[in-house]
Amino acid sequence: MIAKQQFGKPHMHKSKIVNNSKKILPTFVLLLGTTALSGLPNVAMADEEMIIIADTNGDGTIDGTAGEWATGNSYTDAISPDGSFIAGRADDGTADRAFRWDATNGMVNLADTDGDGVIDGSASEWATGNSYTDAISSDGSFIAGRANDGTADRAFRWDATNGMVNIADTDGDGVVGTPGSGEWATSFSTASAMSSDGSVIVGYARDSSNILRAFMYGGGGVMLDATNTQTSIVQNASAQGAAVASVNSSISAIVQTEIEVAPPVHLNFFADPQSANKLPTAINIMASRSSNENASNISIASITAAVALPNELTVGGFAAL
Amino acid sequence: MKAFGGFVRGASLGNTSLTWRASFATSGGNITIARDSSLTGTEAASGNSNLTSQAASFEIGNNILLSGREVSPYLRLTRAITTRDAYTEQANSFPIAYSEHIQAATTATVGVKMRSALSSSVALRYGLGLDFDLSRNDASIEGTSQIPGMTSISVAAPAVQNNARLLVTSGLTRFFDNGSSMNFDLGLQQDTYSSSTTVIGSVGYTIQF
Repeated sequence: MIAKQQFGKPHMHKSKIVNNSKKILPTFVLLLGTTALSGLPNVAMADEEMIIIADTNGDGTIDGTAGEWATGNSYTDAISPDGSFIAGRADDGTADRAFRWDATNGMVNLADTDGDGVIDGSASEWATGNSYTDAISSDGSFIAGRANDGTADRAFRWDATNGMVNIADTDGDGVVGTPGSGEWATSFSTASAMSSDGSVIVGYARDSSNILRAFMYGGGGVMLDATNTQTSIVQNASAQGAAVASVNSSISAIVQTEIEVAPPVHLNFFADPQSANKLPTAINIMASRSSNENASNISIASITAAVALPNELTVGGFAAL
Repeated sequence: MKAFGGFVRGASLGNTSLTWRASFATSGGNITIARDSSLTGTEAASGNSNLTSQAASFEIGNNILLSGREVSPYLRLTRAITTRDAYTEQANSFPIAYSEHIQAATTATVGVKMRSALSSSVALRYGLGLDFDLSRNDASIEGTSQIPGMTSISVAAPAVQNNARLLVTSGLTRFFDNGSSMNFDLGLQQDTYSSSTTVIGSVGYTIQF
């Protein structure tokens, strides 16, 4: 809705307009101007122009043609920040249909993908029952809401390319709850809000235990249980910390690796260079395993070599896998 | 994961019975960290990162012959640092970018190692030690995501359960006439982060020439 401010500049409001005094509730917007509508008593008027968006040709009659399909009640639910796009629902005589309105395309029935005026229940026109909108992206490209597929209400995201996508139907086979598909919101789901760029939708859905659970939906096309996802991430991060701790403990043990070499008995290393070949050397191969019921089990294979030097020194090195 | 290291042992410090040892070790490698989808309504994700560790240790001890046994009390300091590099998960919907994570610990160990001959070809080894944490840096696991309400992630590292940990070791060495030997070792150590005990077993073969 656009209302005139004190200094004459338009001001945007997101609102629903409901006129309870009439049987049919057309959705309208106000534009700056002075023309009053005729033939629609009890509709609030001001010095702005009120446009009934269901009345595409502006003749005061909603005639049920393709361009004026919203013959029953219609409602607005969301509006883009600049007022260019409106999302709402309207009755086409059969059911409420989610729509997007803009000045160029008028009121577009989101459930009627091919625009033939019939929601035929095909894969692209699955929303045969009522459909509702809850959010619209800043540029109007994305709309989120819920729609009934004949079985239950399903959260959807709409865009011009993909149409109305049932986001509870992860594999897109038209069945929510396909075994192995990860489709958990089998009985009800609805969107609540959307990020400004339309990339993330949040809402709530019933799981198989009939409990309402918050969900989020991103670019991956999977409706994620918000609580379980957060739990999974926390558990994973905690496990990472434990794994790093385990490795740190392991390196603390590995650094103690050592083998003994019997000292040179007859070595006169410095007096006779030929005796250098007599430096006692030892090589050890070892396999070890550590086991802990609350931590990672670690297996290590290692090879260690050491040489005994004069002055009771032993020098060695090791490699472990 | 591969580990490398080295050590220097001095069996007689200043012509006394004092011994010393300095050692170091390093390990590193590429790791894959996976997050499963076992919880309902979650997605699997995974990422690759590098995990590197360094440790250094210095030990001083004293070899004493006591009733036919070699008894070696010792004091050891060990410093270990493990770093998991920053990485970003591959996930369909909400990948998480984890920051670098570092854990470091400095421990002191006091203990005693003993060795006695069971026969002319078999030696029995056993030891008892106690690790003390002198310092321990267990930073939180940090990250960011686009998950609503979870754009900044900070999960505490495992809480230390035992600042002092008992270590018990035992082993047998069988010497052969050709100068080689086999060793069998079993150790028990209290865990740092849980009340459980880590069991360490190993078998090795040594040849000297």
